Amino acid sequence: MFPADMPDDRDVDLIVVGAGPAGMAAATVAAEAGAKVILLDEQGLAGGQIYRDVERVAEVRGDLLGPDYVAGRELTKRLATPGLTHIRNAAVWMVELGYRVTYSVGQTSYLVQAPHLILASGAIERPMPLPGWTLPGVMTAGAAQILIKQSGLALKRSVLVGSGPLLYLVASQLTRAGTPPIALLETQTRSDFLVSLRHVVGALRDWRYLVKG
Amino acid sequence: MKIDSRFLELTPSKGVEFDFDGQTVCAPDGANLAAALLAAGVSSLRWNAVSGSPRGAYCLMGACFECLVKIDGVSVRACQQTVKAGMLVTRLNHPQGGEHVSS
Repeated sequence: MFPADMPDDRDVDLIVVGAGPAGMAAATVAAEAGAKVILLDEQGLAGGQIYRDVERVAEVRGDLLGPDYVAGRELTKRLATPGLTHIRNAAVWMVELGYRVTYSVGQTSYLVQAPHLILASGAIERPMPLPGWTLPGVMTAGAAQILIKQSGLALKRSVLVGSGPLLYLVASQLTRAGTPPIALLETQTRSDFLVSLRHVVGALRDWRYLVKG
Repeated sequence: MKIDSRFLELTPSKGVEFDFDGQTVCAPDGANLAAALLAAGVSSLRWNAVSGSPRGAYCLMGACFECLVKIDGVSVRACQQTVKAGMLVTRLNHPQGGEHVSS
């Protein structure tokens, strides 16, 4: 079965899976170069997790989420490029040689085919299992941020546990939202820190990223 | 029974009502279902079929399947669903005396 809004699905040059920053950029660049592109995404609005719902949310909470988030609108705008079809709420569940890509929207499945396929399905942070990690109310830092971005819900009296820049970003956004975490438990040990010191010179070479962090 | 929300609502609004395990929950029209339930004070969205332990929304990006619920009889991830007026949401493996919902 083919989606009704596709005139001829067999005549597609490229299928991109995932409408986050990478998928949107790949689909747009290809379409601007004249390729016929199908962009499949599981969410209702483009943006992935980084730019989650940015088209709708940038105006409402752009100040809280910061200029790096709002900048995502530049990418979502370009999805209107002719030749690019963005299919929303599409869960891709099979890829076969060809490439034949099967996906579902609601309870209906569809098949599209193209000689080129780009998987930009994104990432999830690596959780740190410890007793109690499946208790309701425990969630990933990404989940806490998705709640702020998409739904305007900021965790009250949270404890953030782990390491890495996302945790600090969530802490600063919760603080800006007026509900700072009770504690941020950094799990990086002193020896982790010492081991990573040898990368300092390399890190300084890309100082813009450091400043952003 | 009113439960203190564990969330600060940055732009509070209520619009539509839906049925959640026999109770009425009020949420903004078009809200994310998992988020709407969290805002309503529900944290347990299902009970593990083997151990019976409660589970809640964990990744909110469709990857972990911990927020599986039934909408009008079909199993779906709550975090991938949009609230619609009158929808019927039930929890899987609900034990006796589950959580109460505030709205």
